[in-house]
Amino acid sequence: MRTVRPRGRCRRAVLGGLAALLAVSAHAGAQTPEGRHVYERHCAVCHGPKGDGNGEAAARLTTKPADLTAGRYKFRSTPSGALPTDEDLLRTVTRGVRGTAMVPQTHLSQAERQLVVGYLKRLSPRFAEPVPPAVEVPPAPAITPDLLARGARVYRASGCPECHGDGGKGDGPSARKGMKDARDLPIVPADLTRQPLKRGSAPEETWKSIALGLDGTPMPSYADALDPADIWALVLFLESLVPQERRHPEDRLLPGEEVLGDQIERQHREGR
Amino acid sequence: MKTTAGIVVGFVLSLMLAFAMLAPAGAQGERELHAVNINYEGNNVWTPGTYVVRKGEKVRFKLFNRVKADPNVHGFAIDEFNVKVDVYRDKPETVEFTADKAGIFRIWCHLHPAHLAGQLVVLEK
Repeated sequence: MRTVRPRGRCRRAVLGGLAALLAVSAHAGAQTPEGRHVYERHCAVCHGPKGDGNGEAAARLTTKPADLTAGRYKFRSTPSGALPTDEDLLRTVTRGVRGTAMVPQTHLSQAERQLVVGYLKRLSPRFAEPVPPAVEVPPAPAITPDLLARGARVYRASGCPECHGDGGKGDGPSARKGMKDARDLPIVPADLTRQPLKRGSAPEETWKSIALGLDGTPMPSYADALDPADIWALVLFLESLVPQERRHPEDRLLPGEEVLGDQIERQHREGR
Repeated sequence: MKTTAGIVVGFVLSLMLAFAMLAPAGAQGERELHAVNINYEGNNVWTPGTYVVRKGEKVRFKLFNRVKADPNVHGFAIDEFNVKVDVYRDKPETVEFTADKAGIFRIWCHLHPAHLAGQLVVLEK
């Protein structure tokens, strides 16, 4: 009987393919159980064992935990409707969502946070889709009176007061009627006169919220409607609405949902 | 006797037919219109884009938001008739008003003014 052996380039390709397959299997094998373990220990209490947002603590929270099975993320650096990048997910896990029970997970190591990001992507079949590259935020312009006046004009012309109110306090006509998110849960427009906002206090993050929208909420993407310079004028105008006494330090928990979220996570972690 | 009854029935039927021919599709002076918000090649738009009514008619718009992409709410506004409705995805709304002035009026999304605008044409009687 004659044995057929792969020859030359063909053999190298087969061996290379096998090696890659083994590497991927080993990576997945190492990542999934550990990522799942981190998730179950630190995240499932709010987001639920299946990731559907129905964890045992969800009923105690005003802002309901995200449904991670939907694959719809508010805080992205990618266009509206697209999946977030790994860096986006890592950032949300690390820095949390301000004003909500999703507190910064800095008690986890960087490696643990990366593992849980890998696990999050297994909770929604949407992650089989390709993730577009992150949109680059252009550099901020210098603040001038003209720029702020332009930002104020953009604010009015873009319909922002309908939800956020004339003064940016989140009390526009639509807000007073009561608004709903894509899960039909009540949602309140951001009070833009205090910081941090959900995404933090960095102007670059507010630029992303306006340009890319917050998927699953009434906040649309303005990428097609406004040019990047108009968005910067708007961001810096909004910054000018925040008095010093309404700027909470980034590194301290906000009273209310953040403190509650921290307590829930600690109790769950310590098995109480 | 039979002849008299036949005449009465015939008279009543004729009257009903006459009324049916005179009456418009809806009740007198009322007009019901449907507007659907869709995404057309990247643009959100209320469709159809133009609606025509007569001055003095009571207009009832039934509004449907069928845009699958986020955000989950769009606006339907006609400033001159104080119409301003937030229409959530797959949650139809109804708005009524009397078209008490003639002209061409902009229909727009007050939440996201960049969306394509439509128009309401109110004809003189």
